[in-house]
Amino acid sequence: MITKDEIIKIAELARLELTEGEVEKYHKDLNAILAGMKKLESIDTSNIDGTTHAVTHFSVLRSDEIGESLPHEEVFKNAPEESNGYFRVPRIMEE
Amino acid sequence: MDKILTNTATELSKKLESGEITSVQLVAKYLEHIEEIEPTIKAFITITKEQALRDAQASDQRRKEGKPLSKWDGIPIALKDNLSTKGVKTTCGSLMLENYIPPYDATVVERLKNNGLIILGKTNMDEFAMGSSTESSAFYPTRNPKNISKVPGGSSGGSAACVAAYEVPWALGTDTGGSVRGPASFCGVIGLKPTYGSVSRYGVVSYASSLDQVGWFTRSVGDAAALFQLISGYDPKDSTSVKVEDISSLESSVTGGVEGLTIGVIKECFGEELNPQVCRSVRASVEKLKEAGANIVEISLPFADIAIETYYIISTAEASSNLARFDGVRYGLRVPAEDVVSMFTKTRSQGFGEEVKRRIILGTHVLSAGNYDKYYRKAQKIRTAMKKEFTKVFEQVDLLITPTTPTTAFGFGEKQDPLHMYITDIYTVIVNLIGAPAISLPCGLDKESMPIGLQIIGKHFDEKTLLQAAHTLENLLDQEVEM
Repeated sequence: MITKDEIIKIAELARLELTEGEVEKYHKDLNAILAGMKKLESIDTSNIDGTTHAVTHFSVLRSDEIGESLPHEEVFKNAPEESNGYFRVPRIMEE
Repeated sequence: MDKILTNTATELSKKLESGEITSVQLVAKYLEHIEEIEPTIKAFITITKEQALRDAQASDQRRKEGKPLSKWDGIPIALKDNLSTKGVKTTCGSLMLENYIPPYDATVVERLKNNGLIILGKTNMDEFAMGSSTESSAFYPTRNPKNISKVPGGSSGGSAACVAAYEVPWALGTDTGGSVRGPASFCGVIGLKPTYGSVSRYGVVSYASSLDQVGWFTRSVGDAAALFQLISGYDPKDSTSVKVEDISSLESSVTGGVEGLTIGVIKECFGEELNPQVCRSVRASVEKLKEAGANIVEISLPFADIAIETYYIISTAEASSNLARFDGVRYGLRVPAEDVVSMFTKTRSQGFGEEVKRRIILGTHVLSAGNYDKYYRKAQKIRTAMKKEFTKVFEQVDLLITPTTPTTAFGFGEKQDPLHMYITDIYTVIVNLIGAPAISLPCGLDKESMPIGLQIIGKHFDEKTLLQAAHTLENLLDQEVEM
């Protein structure tokens, strides 16, 4: 079982702020979902490696050549706030 | 509605080639039909009318000069709104990306353009491709053209609906756990999810990278094969893309039959959750394949019973990590705040909808210290075991058959409990976990005249046999309708 406090804590880790109603709802949902996942515990996986990708593939290397990049002005068109070719965010450190 | 709109892309290609119709005329007809029915169906988020007409003009000019880019030059298509389109809004069905305009095209989009296809617009979807009904779109739900009181399925509901409603001959979607096959089944069209790695994911907004694949909706198996040929193949921009072997013969291969093929029916996919009408219809189609010369065997795949749980651990874990990029810094929504952490938090809390938050929280939980081994690691190991089991099964059979979804399309708001919604994908998720190709074909109607879908699963990179069997069944079922 997962508690409401744990839901709030996990949400914080994911940078989500939940309303009381959301905590209530996700608490109920997650417990139901996690209960279903108990089924997996009975499967013996002691001698099996994990799969991270659906199809086996190898590290892909390429030669270190300068290619074309997207123009800065195009990329910054989507920026919520920019300043002199940088993304601008609220203050991070105290003065 | 002009009858030409019911043509397949292959038929349209011939008419464009012979000069029976021009691309401008064709695009105008589609746009007129879209204008008429979109207020009811709501398959699109953005309709790129002006650009489409300009592109059609250029296409006609190329044909006039005898220099078409391909035989598909001038044929319209629609794209799910998580496929990046240069200069055209790509919202992912989310407030987070409501005003996002990509500065580049996804590789699949680039390939369509290079072949002269005309993009008519971007289609509605469950937010960030998370859902099975298109109800979680931040904008509005799409209605099923076969019965507007029902959902079109999801997450590529808009793309499925616009093909079913003859707004385009074909459309691209994406399939992470059934998001092409499910809606194809609900709307009565064909939905193909190719082998993982065979089609580039570059420029596709990520949900769960190890499962995501571009797939598509068509009204004939031949068209599905044609699209595979058009957009598959190695892409240096996607390190998981694979060099596909010669596919030049794919289109012609769909004419072969099923004689001598061994087809396995997965026993576990005919359990108590399966609607009896769906069951009967799928079984009847299997019988037809048998009469056509296929060797039918019953196969037991115990892992099918735990596929949905395994899928929801892996997909949400990957989603929680993928969606960390939406922080209000570089693009998308930003909700201003005093300090940067509050800005992240407010942006994400207001930008994401209910289902996306649910999956981020679940994914963060299964990856968190103390839970990682119990859930995430365990699921990855089970995934390995599933792949092994499938490899073994595919030594005995050429193809596998299941229903696509346990029921036909349901009504709006009918599945409030997320677990009930998740069950929709019970037969499709396993295919993404192992990375195999699969297709959903309409195989009948239920008592309410809603389409029933059947899923055929193939071996990795053997789209050829998959499409061959699908094409055979398509013909067998067509004959039935004619009789």
